[in-house]
Amino acid sequence: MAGLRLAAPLRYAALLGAFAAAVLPVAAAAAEFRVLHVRALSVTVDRMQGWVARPLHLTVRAVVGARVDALPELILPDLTAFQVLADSERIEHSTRGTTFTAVLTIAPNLPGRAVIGPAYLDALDPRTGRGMRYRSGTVTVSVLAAPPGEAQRMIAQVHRLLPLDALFVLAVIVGALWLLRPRNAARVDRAAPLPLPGTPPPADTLGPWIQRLRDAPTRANAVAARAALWSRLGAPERATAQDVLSELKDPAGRGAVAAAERAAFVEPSAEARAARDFAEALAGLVR
Amino acid sequence: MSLAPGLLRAALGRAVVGQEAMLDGLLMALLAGGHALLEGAPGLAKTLACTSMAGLIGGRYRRVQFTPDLLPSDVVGTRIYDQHDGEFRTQLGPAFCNLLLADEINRAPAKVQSALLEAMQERQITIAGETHPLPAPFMVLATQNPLDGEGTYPLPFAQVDRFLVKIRVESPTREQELEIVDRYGAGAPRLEAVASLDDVRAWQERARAVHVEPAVRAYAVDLARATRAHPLVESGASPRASLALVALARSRATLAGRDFATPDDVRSCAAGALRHRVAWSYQLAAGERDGERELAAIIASVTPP
Repeated sequence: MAGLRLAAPLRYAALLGAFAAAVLPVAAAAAEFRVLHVRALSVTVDRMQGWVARPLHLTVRAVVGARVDALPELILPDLTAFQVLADSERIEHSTRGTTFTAVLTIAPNLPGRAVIGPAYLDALDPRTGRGMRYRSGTVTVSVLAAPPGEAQRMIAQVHRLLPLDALFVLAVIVGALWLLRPRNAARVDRAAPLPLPGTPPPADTLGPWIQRLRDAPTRANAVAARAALWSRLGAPERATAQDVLSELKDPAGRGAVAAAERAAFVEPSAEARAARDFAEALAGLVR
Repeated sequence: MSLAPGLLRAALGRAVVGQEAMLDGLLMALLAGGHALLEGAPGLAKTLACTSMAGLIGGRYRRVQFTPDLLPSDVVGTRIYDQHDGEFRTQLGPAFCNLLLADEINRAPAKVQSALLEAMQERQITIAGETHPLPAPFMVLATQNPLDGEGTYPLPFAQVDRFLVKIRVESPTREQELEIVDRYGAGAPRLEAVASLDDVRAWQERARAVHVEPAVRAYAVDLARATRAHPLVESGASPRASLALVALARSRATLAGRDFATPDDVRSCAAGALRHRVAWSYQLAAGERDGERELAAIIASVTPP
């Protein structure tokens, strides 16, 4: 690998040595680093499930915002739980910088969950000039002991031991039990659906607000009445007037929403009049 | 009573097909007295929108194509020696105008960018110790292309902050593109001014007078602050972003013919006011996540009043 200068596949052992050395403080080595704008660093595998001794492809991708011909600063993930069968690398230059891609063919040594990553990249941050250690995320591969062929043989054995006729009878019994299950069993309560925007609100919830706004046309009452209107129109959490209006076709409803906005946010000198207008708009809506 | 700004918006809509967000953003920046940064691929009518706006308000318009060999004096002006009189005299640069189109601003070196951005902030230019105020209104419309990064000088974070709004220019729809081909196939239509600089000044005055309730102001502040709390943000929006949000909300209300701003005004302007003021951490790119989508999620997470 040109960027890593290692001999395959034994070069990977040296690579791990480099990985161990890399745990030294970044600041100490900062003087040797290049100024690189690291745009991306990722680790991916072609399958999230594998089998012992069966190959997987691991891709380490780094994107830097400069034209570079090698990336010796890149430290590949620890792969002690795998056998490295082959490796390849690719460098692509574009107007945005350089994309470095290393593809490793690896085979798991043991069954279980194997965590791969992170990969590291040491560079000087172009904004601050400080040494930075960038790290990728990790991927977890579930490693099974039996390859697919062996698993199929096991299923065939089960089939031999348990004839299809017996499975059919079992399915009929389970189905009959389900049909005869007690109907008065406790049910899960479901939340009552919110009224759809556009449904005229019932007069009883907005009626008191109409009177209150007529009696005391204040900002506080207008804001509270606006909240009541929102609630009755079924506006979701964090909705604004625009959200409500996008679903509302009824002209009286649209008028009430516009009046509510005015009453809630108009300048103080126009507050009383806007609140009275809002009351009349609400009255028009509930009629 | 001056002309309604909605008329200018309608005229702009006739000059440029689609690109509603860009046109709204430009007008809001104009009404707020701020500067706009337009980012989009070439050929998306960025320059057309700027020239159309200049033509429609009848102001003095200048265009500077930013290149790597541009000098600060090419933008702001310089002192030249007049052999005839045997004296130095000041030659004012193209920045002395009402609408300056800084095309591909990221192609010029930092010194030129810095000279322009200083003029944007101070609204005056000093040449050889002599200070010259810039005309009012003065607005810089800067464009940059996000794709072709080779040989560019990205604007420093602190300088991008000087732009009131950053507008992302998207590709038109198929129908819009067909209309573009029909309309501009035989050449660009001629534009006549529909407003004057006095109208623009009156609109700016009207926008400044728009009432913003404390709850709406608090919403703007909460939006800016929410960017600072996001785990993928390295540096969030500064208080200048809160100011920009309120200014843009006032402009939007003016365009809508209202004398008060609503939470919708703030929310609609939030992406434009915040996107260039948020520095995403390296993890965002590493996770191959989209900053624009994350910003939309931040905006959606803040409860409006």
